[in-house]
Amino acid sequence: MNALDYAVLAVALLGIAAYGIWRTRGRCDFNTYLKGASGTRWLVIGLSVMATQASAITFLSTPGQGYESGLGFVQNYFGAPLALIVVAGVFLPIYRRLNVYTAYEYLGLRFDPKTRLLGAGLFLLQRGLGAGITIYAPAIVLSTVMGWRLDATIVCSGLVVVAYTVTGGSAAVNLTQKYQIGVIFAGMVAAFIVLVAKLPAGLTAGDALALAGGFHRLEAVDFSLNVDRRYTIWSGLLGGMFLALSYFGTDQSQVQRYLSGSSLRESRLGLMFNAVFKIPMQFFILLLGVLIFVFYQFERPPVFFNRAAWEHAAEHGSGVRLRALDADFARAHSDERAQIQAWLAARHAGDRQAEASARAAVDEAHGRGAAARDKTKEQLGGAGSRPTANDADYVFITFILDHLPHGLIGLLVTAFFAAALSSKAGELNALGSTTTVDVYRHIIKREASDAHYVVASKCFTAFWGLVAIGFALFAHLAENLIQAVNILGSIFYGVVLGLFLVAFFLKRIGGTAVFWAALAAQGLVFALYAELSISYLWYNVIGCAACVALSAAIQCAIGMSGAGGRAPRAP
Amino acid sequence: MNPPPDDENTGLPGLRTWRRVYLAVVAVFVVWVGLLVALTRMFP
Repeated sequence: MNALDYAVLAVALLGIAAYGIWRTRGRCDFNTYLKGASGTRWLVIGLSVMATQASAITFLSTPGQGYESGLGFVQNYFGAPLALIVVAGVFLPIYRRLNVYTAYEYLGLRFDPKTRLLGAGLFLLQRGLGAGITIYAPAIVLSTVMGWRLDATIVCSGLVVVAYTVTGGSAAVNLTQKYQIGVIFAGMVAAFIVLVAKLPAGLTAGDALALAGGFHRLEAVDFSLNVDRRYTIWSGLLGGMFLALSYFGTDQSQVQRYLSGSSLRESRLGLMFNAVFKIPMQFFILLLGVLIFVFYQFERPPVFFNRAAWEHAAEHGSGVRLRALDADFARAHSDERAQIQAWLAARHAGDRQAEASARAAVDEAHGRGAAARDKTKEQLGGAGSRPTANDADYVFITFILDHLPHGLIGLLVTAFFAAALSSKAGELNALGSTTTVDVYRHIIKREASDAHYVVASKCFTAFWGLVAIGFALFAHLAENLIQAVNILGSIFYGVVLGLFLVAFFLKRIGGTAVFWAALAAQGLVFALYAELSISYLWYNVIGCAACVALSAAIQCAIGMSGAGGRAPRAP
Repeated sequence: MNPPPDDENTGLPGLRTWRRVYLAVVAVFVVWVGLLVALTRMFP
């Protein structure tokens, strides 16, 4: 990065944060602080919901997933449109009618205080842990590639988001997210245009897709019934729907976003905006990764994208072995590139026999290159230079730094930070609100002025911000970052969704039954996660089903008479 | 006939009830999945 890139980064990031603080200065009304400005329109809500979900991990890591595994990850989002319809049609009208600040307030009105605390506690536990990852994930990748200090990157980005979230509350979050998502989209579209322009002259769109398809990178939909496969249409539709239903319907970081709508109509349209655009957005980001894969068939990629880890190992005793593997990889890539040219020529000539022959040679050379990469990873692990993130997470940032012009590099790095700040702000806002409304105001100080609760909410938001920064400073991750976030969510979301489904649809089940059922179901999910190797999306279904079934069983055991829930009334 | 309450009015031309909006969203979803299946099959 040069001075121009740093200028773009500083002006865009600090400018948006300062604008958010300035526009929301002096607002101390509790309702506005927690729910945002009363006139929030559907597009702002839609963008805000999108920005809260799409963290920096989404934009850094997802192209790497496309590069390594192709489009299959898009199936993870197949359940989202259907879930959003259920949230808009069932959950949202109830929240608005009861005029609640948090989703867990509803559990208190429907069941009892302990169930409300359980719902809020599971959210705070899961989201509090996840909050550290949303800061750590982009920081580890960006600091490694840029040579920045990891702790300084975490602390600086963390403090910026804490500053404007604490100052302006929900209104500042909505306002800044609108501009941050604009920067993100501009950066991603610019990267896409540059990437397409850099593909070899004469390579048609059909060639590029055929090439990607030849390497199994366009297998977007998998109808396999094998539950061990991480992404299939079935796990995406069913598990993804439960995950999305729980995330959009019961996670306060999302509930708070759409409750800020000026009317039910605005909130619903904001959700429908996401239902329509979520899948194409994820497809576009994955396709970017697939096209980077095609690009690197003609341009030699590094044998290992995390070059800092490679160089560290090379300087500490593994240099000879690593350089030999690098030479093997270079030879394999050179052969592969020549065979791809032959394959494309045969394809253009319509010579099926030559095409099949060249294709087999491409596969053989690709296999040698992949073997060199695998041995490099083993060597790095053996040399004690075990990287703290999957190498796929470094693919996109490596492409940006090596092949984008200055100015655009700054824009893309700004986009990653904007994504980190926007999702972080939504999470901190929700963590602060839930702690204030469901714990502090509910248990510790029931009667106080609005101004007192605003101060308390600011303190709790700052507290969670510091917890997230602290967690990020000491976190160490091994798996692909976006998967780590989804796995963590899937472990808790199913049970929380079960609590809400019982609340909405099983009117005869009371608080005691659902409370113990939720605890048992959560224990079951922990045990199964430790024992099984099934796709993590299924834990959303298992946790939810276990919570609902156990609630019914316990309610039957303790007797139905007089145990049912109460009809919730607005507080 | 009484006009629908403000929240019931979707304000979208051609999609005046929420049921129609939801059906339109499902239709768009089916189109996306269909296109992705076609992409998978076209470039095996």
